[in-house]
Amino acid sequence: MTYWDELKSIMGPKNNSQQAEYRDTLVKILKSRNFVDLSEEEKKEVLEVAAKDFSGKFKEDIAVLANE
Amino acid sequence: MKEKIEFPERWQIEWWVSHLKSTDPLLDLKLPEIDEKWYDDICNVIVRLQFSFVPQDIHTLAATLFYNIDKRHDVIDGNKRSSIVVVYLFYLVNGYLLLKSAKVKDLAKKVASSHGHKQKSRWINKIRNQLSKNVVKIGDFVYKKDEFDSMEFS
Repeated sequence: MTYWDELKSIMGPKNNSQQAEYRDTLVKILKSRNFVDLSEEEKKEVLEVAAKDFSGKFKEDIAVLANE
Repeated sequence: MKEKIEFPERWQIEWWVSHLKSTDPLLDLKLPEIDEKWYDDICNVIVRLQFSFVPQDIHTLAATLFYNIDKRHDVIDGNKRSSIVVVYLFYLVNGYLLLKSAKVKDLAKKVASSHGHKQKSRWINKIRNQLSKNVVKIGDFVYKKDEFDSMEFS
């Protein structure tokens, strides 16, 4: 998976109503650069978006390990 | 300049897990059993790492965290899954995204099945190498912001 594919995976599918939310959040990260510099509310927002990203990428791994 | 390392706080781990569960009901079913004791244990591992003599380098710390959770001997089930969930968060709070190409599932299985702690440092080096090659710094995207703005999402 390329660098940009990874970024797209965070954005979610086109026409998804949450796309704007993902994008706003990621831009916020880009501007501030450091997680530690974000406010508590922003940190929560970042973790929430990242949880969606994690679910997409690692769900299968977690499921396989759970079934072993 | 030396990189300042952030260690996930308890509320962040709780928030992270609650969103993993709510984002995908199927994932919720597959996560290890996460209760107060799980949070206590994970926080203890993190605090011990924070005040250890492990070199304060992001990838060495991530590898040590991964190993220490994976090899917890007081928990029967869920160590491999816990190590993946927590190390992903550790990288995230430090501004990195762990990529699927890190093959953390295979890594977690190999570490868990390794014999005792005799080759701990060798395993940590191995984990470190694999993780460090498969993360991206989120902040790096800022240099391509124009490209980012014109991206089409498929």
